[in-house]
Amino acid sequence: MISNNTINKIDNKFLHVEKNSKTIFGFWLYLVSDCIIFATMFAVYFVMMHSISNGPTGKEIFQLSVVLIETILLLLTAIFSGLTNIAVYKKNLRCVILSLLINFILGLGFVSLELLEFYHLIIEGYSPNRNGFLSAFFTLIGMHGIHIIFGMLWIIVIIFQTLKFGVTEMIAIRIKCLNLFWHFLDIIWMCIFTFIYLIGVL
Amino acid sequence: MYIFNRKLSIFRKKIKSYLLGSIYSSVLTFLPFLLVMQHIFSDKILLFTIILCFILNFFVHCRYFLHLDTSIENRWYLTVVLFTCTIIFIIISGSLWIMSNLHNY
Repeated sequence: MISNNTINKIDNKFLHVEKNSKTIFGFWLYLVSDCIIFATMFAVYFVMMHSISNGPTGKEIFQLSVVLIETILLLLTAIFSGLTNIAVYKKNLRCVILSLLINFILGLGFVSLELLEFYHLIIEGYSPNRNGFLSAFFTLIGMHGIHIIFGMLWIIVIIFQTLKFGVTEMIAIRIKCLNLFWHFLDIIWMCIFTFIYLIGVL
Repeated sequence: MYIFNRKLSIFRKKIKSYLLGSIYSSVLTFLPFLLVMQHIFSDKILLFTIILCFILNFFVHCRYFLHLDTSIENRWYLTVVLFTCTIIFIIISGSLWIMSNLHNY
């Protein structure tokens, strides 16, 4: 027979956020509408894909090795987001901070690789004002990059909040939203590397 | 003790779900890259495999990372996703259809 107090103590070891929280559902609605913005950009890209007046085709400018490294970085962020979720559930402060920091560094690596790719393209004269294909391409990839940058800012804010307040239920809901955001960006990147890079290279 | 066991089992389920998800999605991500970089098959088979991998990867992400299933807790989440898929289908197929007609004349 264990006392009520012990049960409470054991109960406090885990932090379970119910999924029917209104905040998370509201954030889900935001993500889904963001999906529609990306879908319109994909539609523009598919329409513009063949309008290459005097520029290069996708096959000539895409470097699959760089894209592969970017993909690995984003896949790792998805895995570390899962680790953050588990750490929050276990209320392990150090593990939460560590996995958020790793996510931040991986995001930084991704953005810098993307900027490097853009820099090389522009140096070679393939800037967005060259033709319709290139402007649609730069808009779509740039939009994804901007989302990643905002996600990184969000991670910094969350790290400071976690250090100040500890792993409370409020923080747990915020981290859950952040993780949903990263998984969403990962799904968008999946669409990008499948429909733009891999099919463009074929 | 009962509550503790239940929470521990939820915890183990979470870890298992993330592990399975990462394994599946890394296989489904690297397979198309490998096939395209080596270019073993013809273009048609490659295109089919790439799109198949994408669809499977999408479902893996929804199931293991976003924890979407058909339980009552998730009913509204799923409804929203299905609605968005309809809208996205209309946007993409509609604009492709109209613009391809426009290019023909």
